[in-house]
Amino acid sequence: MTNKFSDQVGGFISLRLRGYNLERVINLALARGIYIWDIKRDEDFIYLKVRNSGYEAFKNIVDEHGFELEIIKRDGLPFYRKILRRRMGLTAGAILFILVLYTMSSFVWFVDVTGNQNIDRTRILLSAARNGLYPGAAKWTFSRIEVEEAMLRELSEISYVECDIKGVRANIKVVEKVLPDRDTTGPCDIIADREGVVEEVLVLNGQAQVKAGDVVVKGDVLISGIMTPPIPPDHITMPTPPPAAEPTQVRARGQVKARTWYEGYGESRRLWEETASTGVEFNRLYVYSPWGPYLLIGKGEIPFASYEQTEKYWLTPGNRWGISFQAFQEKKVNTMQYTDNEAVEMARQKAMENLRSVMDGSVKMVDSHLEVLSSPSDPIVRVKVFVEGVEDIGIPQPIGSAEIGK
Amino acid sequence: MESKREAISKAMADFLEIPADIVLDLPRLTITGRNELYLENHKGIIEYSTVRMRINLSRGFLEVNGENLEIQALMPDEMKVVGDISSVKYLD
Repeated sequence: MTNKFSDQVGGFISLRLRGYNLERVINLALARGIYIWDIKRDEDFIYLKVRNSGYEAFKNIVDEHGFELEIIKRDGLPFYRKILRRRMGLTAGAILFILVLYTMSSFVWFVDVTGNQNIDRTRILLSAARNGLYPGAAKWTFSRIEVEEAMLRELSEISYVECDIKGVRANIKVVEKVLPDRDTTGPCDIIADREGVVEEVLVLNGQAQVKAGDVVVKGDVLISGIMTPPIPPDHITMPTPPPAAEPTQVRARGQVKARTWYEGYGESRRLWEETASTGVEFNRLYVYSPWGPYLLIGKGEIPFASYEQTEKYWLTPGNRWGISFQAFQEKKVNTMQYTDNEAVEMARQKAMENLRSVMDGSVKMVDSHLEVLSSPSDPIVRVKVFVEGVEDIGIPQPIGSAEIGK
Repeated sequence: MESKREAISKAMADFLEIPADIVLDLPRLTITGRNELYLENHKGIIEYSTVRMRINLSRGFLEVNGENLEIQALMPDEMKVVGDISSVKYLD
């Protein structure tokens, strides 16, 4: 019913009335549409509040009927204005603060990219920047939908892009296109992808050409897609057997598990030198001016023999003014001597790492053994790791393409 | 005594299922606890003191008795009274 906020904005006056038949004033104010509230009776007086805008009209009523009127307090924004005028600095500061906050918040300061897996982040950012969305871009200079559409046109590998702008942060969400597998669809054979000893053959479609224990090399047909229908037993006994049915071509499917071999190489030094930070730091602060740089903090020589230097700049446009902060971190060289066993173990781990990058994740490791290639006096330990695994070596190949290849 | 016009209005309101306070300009009272009284469709104030208050209605008037009575808001059609209300009476 009462709107405290609008009362505050418009300002209101607390009054005290005295006279005979005060109800009359209330009813008259009511009839003239003057909003009054907080009416309190105290003996001969009536206390009430009236809006600043209705005060003149209310005063007229009071004067016409000969009541005594006294202003107790003026409240609300119009009356605070006087106080604010006296404290100009505060007012100007507050206004400036709001203006700066508003201006700063109408720019995009951070751009993030999410959802990309194969596409480089910088490519997405560059594409967005070309279309107007970059850190420092004013929000009114680009249209979110236009940027999205232009990015979709530029980057053919993405199927969806969304620029979500929340405050000063823009998040570019992309969804990459998933291209269909180039799977063989027509009739095909299953051939060996690498050499090995067949352990297990599981045929879903086609005719098996190998059995467990066979040694196969890369390119051998494991499951053939050419099906020759079996000759029914009664046809064999016939004096003139009917001609055999034509072989049919199918897409061979199945799993051929074979024992395969991998070998990996790794090496490790017996003596290791490592530079590590000691945690001691020396800092320099420069102030750049048009008359040259001035060293403010960190006078004197750098107290370290070996150090790493990092530098940060804050410069004004035109590079005339600015500050630069240089940090020097002390470095120390630590030498470590490994025992034979430790060095071999490290070399073995490296060899295994190399192997893992070559081996498919589906290979099940069955056995492994290690061979040290270097002599004990060598400064570097060299090892070779042999791994025996079991894996599905079959890959599809369209029928006839192998012959064409040969 | 209801006039003929009022009787017709009431019959129409009943028939069309329109709230009586709209058609007949009847007061609508909402009392929250003992301390708050909200009244719509009033016709001005007849008497006001901290213990007794009489409010004019379209027919008759309403007497509110209590202590520390205070008019928190007053508008042409509605008003809100707060205080320790002890009784509310309709009088002709």
